[in-house]
Amino acid sequence: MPRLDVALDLRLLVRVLRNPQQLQDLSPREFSRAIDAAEQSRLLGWLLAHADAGQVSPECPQWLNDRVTTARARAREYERSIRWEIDRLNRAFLGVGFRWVLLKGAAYVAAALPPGRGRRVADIDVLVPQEHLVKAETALREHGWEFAELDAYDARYYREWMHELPPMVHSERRSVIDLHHAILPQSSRLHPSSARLLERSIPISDDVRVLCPAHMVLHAAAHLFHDGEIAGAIRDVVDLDGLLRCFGNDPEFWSDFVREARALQLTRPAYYAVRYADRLLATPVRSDVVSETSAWGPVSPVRWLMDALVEKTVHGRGTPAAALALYIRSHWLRMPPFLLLRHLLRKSVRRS
Amino acid sequence: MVAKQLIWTHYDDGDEWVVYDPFSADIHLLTASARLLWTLVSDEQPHTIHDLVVTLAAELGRSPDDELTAVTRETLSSMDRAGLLRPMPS
Amino acid sequence: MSPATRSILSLLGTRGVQVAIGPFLVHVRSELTGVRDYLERFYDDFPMAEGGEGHFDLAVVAGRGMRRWVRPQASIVINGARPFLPLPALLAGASMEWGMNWCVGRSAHHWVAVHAAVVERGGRVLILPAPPGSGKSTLCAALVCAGWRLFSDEFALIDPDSGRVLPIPRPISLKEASIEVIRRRDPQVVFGPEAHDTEGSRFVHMRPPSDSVRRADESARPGWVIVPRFMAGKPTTLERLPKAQALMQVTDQSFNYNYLGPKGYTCLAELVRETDCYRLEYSDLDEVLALLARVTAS
Repeated sequence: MPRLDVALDLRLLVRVLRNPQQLQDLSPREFSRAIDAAEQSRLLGWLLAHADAGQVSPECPQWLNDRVTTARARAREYERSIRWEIDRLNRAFLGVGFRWVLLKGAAYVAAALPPGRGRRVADIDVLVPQEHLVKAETALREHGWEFAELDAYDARYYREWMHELPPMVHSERRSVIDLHHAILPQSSRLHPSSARLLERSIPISDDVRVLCPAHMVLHAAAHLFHDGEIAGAIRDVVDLDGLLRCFGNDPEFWSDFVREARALQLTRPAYYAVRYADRLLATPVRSDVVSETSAWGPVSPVRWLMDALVEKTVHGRGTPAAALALYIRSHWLRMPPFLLLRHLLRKSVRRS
Repeated sequence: MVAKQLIWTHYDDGDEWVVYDPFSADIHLLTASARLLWTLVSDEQPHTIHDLVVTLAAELGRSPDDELTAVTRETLSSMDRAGLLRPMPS
Repeated sequence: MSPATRSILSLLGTRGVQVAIGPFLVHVRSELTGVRDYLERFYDDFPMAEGGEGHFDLAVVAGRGMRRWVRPQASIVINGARPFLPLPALLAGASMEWGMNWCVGRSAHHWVAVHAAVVERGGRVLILPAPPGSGKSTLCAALVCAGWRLFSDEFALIDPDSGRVLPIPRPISLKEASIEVIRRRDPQVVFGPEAHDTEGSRFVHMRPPSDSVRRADESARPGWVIVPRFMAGKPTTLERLPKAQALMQVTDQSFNYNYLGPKGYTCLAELVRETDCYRLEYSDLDEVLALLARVTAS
């Protein structure tokens, strides 16, 4: 008997990502498949936000109604959960006397940005001044967070080669905080100034701060094209699209974006962000920005290879080798070459 | 300062209170005294530990001693950690 | 089994089968004969149709590569996700129940779900909230053999709008000595074949009474919340449980009230308000059944 096909319908998901108005035309079965694919790609919030824009048909079968109720409840709970953790973080850092800035997903939720809607956030990433790192750790420990138990190898990897300290896990709630003093690893070739990021950060409420829009977009781009795991790729591209659409209406944003890309030495990620947001999701980007950033791209062969790899990986059509190739590239940018093989080999041994 | 969104439940067969905080999604069981303490601090005014202990002692028919003070401090700290009380803005 | 049912089940490996279990439509697919045998044995009197949709898409698939044939494995796939590690293919049928538990507990946020054994008599529901492994399934099976209608041995499903409890009658899972205990109490009871679960314990599934399955669409109001505790050798005691504590026990066993927000919590608070609440310790099934019959007679 042939194997049952139980795969998620990622192709359907990408189709609606590119054309959200198609959501209204989906059959009940297709809509439930889209929900499942979105949930596993951590895009449930995105899907529900765009589905709500249309009408729920009165002929909708009860089972689909119930599925949607469940999906909405999940998305609401994801947001509540992270907002609560941010609140507890704010409580822990009350009176520490230094600026701290939320990064990535937690920031999107805190600032009520489109990528934050119904967002499932795993770890909270926080940028703090390097000289206050110990104070930050102490404050967190006083409020119940402690370093996760790592074996000696991973602990060394974190401290020596990454820009992250080992994650801190809350003893009761099991929530995770990653403290950063820089947004890229110490071992990478690029060193965007943390001082500049902190200085231009924006207050949200209480002591909660997020990066300014240009920095937020550049960080998202650096995360997608410079480091990180491929599994999150679809969502990262959707995030970038959401941020660019949200900020792109403000003409000042684009001049900030170009200026800060230079100031932070993030011109290459800025190039990829503009190029792939346009090609994958038809994100509107101002034409003068496209031409300005096109000068920041790599030489042609590398660019075509990167194009092919990103398309394959994000569309889920790629072979595991293609995904691995992009992952290797990301790691290559982060670690000196002689260390690369050792770390990857060890990671793959651990997974099996 | 009090968390405004709390949902309190009380039944006639006892004097304990159950409180649900939609923000944390936590559920807590409070003794009558703890509930009383919470009510005292939820008027959005600053309070000293001393004042609270004196009021509690009078209401509970106890002496405002060191033990009551320690328990009061501990309970306030638990409520703070749980998010049932929020620090006043300075 | 009717020819219609047999013909529907033949679609398990392709389009799949839509089974109505309580308020849920479960779309089941599997290429493994173990799952088909299991459905034939336990679900033949459940409403079944051919179909490709429902509240949950539950598939039990063969292991990948070598593990399809050598020490064969099976995997549970729910709505495209694999929440469990692969298990021996022999357990493929039983795994349907574990998959269902996952679905009801984590994927049905239009009801409030509480881990509990639930039975009904005289139009009122008895809810026995307890963590998994606390012996509630044995007590549940004994109550059912004594004539109570089976709602569920795993979940109390409560409608947050009406406060009514919904039945989801399914096979009851029994372990180790409980198997003999129940068989002795009711020689008519129908068990599936015995197997060993992933922890090495003996287990069987007990067929739900046809009457309970037939009345799966009849909800009822809650009457009693009784927190049970099996204590070997101890006398049977029942004492009133202050409602604030009963609410803590009930919410402790609900892993989805937070998904319904204040509505979910209030549903459970009102459930406790409406019911008589007790704490129960027992070691002797006959005694506890008699006691429960007395307490619920009023």
